Amino acid sequence: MADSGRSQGHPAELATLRILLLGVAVAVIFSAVVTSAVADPRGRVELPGWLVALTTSAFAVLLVVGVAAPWLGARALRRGAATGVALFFAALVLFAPVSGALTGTGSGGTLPWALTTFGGFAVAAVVAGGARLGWTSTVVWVCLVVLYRLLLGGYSMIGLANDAQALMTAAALCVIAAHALRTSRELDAAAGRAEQFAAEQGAARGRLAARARVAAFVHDEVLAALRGAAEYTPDTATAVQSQARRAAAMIDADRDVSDWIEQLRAMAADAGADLQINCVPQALVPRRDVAEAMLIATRQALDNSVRHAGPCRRSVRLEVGGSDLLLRIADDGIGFSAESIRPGRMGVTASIVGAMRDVAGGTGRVTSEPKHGTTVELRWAEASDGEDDDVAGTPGPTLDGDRVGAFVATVLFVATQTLVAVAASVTVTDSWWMPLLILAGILVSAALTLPSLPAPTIRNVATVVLACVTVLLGLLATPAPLTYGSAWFLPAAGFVLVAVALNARPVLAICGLVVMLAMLLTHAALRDGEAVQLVSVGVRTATTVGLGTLLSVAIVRLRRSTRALARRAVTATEQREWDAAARHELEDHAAAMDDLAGPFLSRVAAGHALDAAGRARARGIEGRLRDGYRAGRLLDPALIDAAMRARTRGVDVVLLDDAGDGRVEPATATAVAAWMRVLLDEADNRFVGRLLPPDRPWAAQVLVDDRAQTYHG
Amino acid sequence: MSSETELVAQPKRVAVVDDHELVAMAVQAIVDDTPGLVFARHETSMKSLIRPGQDADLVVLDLSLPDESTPDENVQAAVAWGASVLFLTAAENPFLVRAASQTAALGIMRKSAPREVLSAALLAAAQGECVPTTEWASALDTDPILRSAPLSAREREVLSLYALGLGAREVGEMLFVSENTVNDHLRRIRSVYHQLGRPAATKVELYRRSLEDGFLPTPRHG
Repeated sequence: MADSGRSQGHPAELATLRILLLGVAVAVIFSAVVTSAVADPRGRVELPGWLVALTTSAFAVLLVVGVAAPWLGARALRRGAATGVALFFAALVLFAPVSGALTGTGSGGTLPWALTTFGGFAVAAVVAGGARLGWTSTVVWVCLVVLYRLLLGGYSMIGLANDAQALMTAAALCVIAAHALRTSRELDAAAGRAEQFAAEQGAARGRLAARARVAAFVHDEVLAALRGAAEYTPDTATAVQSQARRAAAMIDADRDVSDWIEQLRAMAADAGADLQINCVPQALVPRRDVAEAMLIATRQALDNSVRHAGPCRRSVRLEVGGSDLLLRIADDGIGFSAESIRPGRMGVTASIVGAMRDVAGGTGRVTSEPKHGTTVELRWAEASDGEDDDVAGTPGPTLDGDRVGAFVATVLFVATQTLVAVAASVTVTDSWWMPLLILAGILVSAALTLPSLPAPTIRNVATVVLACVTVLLGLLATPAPLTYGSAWFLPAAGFVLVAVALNARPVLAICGLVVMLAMLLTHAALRDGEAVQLVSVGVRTATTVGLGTLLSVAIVRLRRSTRALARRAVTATEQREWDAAARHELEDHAAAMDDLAGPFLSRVAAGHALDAAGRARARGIEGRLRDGYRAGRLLDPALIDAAMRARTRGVDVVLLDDAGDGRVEPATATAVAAWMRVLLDEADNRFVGRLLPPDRPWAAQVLVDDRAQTYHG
Repeated sequence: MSSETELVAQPKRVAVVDDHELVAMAVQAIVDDTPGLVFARHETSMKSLIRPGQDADLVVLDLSLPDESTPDENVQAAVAWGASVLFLTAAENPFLVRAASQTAALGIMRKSAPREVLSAALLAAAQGECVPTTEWASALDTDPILRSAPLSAREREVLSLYALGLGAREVGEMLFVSENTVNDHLRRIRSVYHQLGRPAATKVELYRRSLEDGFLPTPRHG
């Protein structure tokens, strides 16, 4: 069950493990075909049945795990891969006493082909234990193979070519598989962060929307009271007083959120927790959003404790500094393990940590151990960015491992191909330079795939063309019959195609492979090659390119998904900023309501008579509160004062910021406000000031009584 | 018999649906002072207004009632009952005004508008005439979905001037056309806007609307 949980938490990694082992299964099938059908049994050590069975079981395990991969979890896949690799090495090690290689009593012959192919097992080793196990097992394998070869009579050209290309295949697949797994972990980490972020934002939005509704309700009541006061008559006196009382009470209730320590005290009492408060002499008073976040997180922490901690002692300790706050909620209850909380799930992470992260400078940390209680620490500091929290962030992908692996594979490629080419040059009787010329073609085409060069598309096409031309040259220049050894350049060109596939050009790589195999077939048809040798070289090349291409496609898709998540993260960040701005708007409105309407309505509620000046004042305040919703960038202090004066003298003033989301330079907004202020002072009955949408020829217009005027800048 | 005589003979009945008694009192005072209108009753929800035997020709409806009803539902209920609707709003929230503009209501008035303006609007609405206002024009003029609507340049110009607070007569004078032509333009704008509908909202848009629904303005300083 734990495996299932892990798999659910790492879907990209699980999918990649499955793809890798599916590829391994395909490679195993190819190897089985070559071994059983066409591999040349001549000159090989006679193996006892149990060793054949052991070797076969290694391949069979990988085949079964690969075929069943879509239905297996990560742990089962890793164990299956490890089992296959272990069986393979058991067979390889036990080959020593069977062959008599160590005692010098060998009956002659060399290694069976099945033990000289390692690409699939290298991938399986990476799956089982990561890049380190992949490389280690590859090195051990090549050392044993070289040792056996030397002890059993030395290297033939075919053996050298086979081992060199098999080593290169294993190395290349190690690099690619490790890179694919690393990329998948990066994607899972990004997805986890995105999910967590979304959960936190959801909670924050919920709070903000609820807050907005409350504010709207208060606002509606206050406007009704002010309107009534502005239209006050003796007939409406009782109703006006009653409405003013109601609105004033709502403002007070809304303001209560600022008295957050009292609320904290009540919460602690409800939960049966001891409360301790320590304040420095110049203790800060937190902003409304900070206090709200602290209270929300505290309530969640106490609720969780009451519900899940069992019988225990609870404590709430608040320390208020000059510029920071620390609130610690602790219990000595049953606690929980970190693993039982999935990242990104609502609950502790979203509600407590999320509430604190939602305010700039806020952090939340939840620590708990089974049977040792839970402690929640909420911090807020004025100048902090508040980035660290309790979420055990998955370490970011380090590219160093990939770079080192790629470097090793490149060096190995140059070394092995040079070794084989030089060997081929020595063994041919004439045209000794031809293998070296072919080597030059292979190396130059490989160099064209280096990522630092410009014009990737043209370069990759040129690479494939050059590799194909090199293979053609090799096929024409190599004397018949073609052997695995003399056709060494074909698998070599296959590695170049793998590099092309890794440059995000899988179709091009497959096209190159098809052309190369077609040339090989044509050569076989025209010049009578040995089927065993031709199939071996063809299968090796096809397997390498096929696996490499499959993995490169998987990597490209993983990268694409990661990029999509990154884009989503940007959008989410924008949304978060929008939320923050909306919250500030709410705070501004609440403050305006408090400062302007509160004292006035309290007087009306207390029964103070409303004379003409009082009614004018009510008109002015009501208009000012309306401006808070529609005047937007026109809320310039001087213009607000002018509007208040105008309303007090009976002018109907409407200020409209209709520029929407369009960008208005602060200097322009200030200049427009100054222009409107002058005109507003001239108005007798009516004034409409309008900041225009961005697609209009002018920035602003006003209507002063019946005269329309335009701001020309 | 002329229509004027008919109006005097049969005054139009005006009901108010608003959760504030003060608003109802203010509207009643205006209705009482406006010839041709008579106050029917005040209710705090549309549900309590609708009863067998229609006793109001015009419903003056609060745009933001505290119950769970939406402007559209309330207008539909009133129309089904046989009455016309004129919205009253405390603050000119563009989102709500746009939503109200797509209903069958005859217009949207600001509660704080001058008394004579409210009186004229009530009278016009009681006679079934549309009541285009500054708030209505401003909300439509800034609605992004109207940008791609099939409106002529002249119609857009009329809308923009109306949003500035000018009346049909003043707009006509500025554009050298008759008041009737301006009213024709306004009717067509209203009709086009009705047909537009709201596009499928994204999650962000829905969220923003939910905030705006609470009379929260979109941030302008952030």
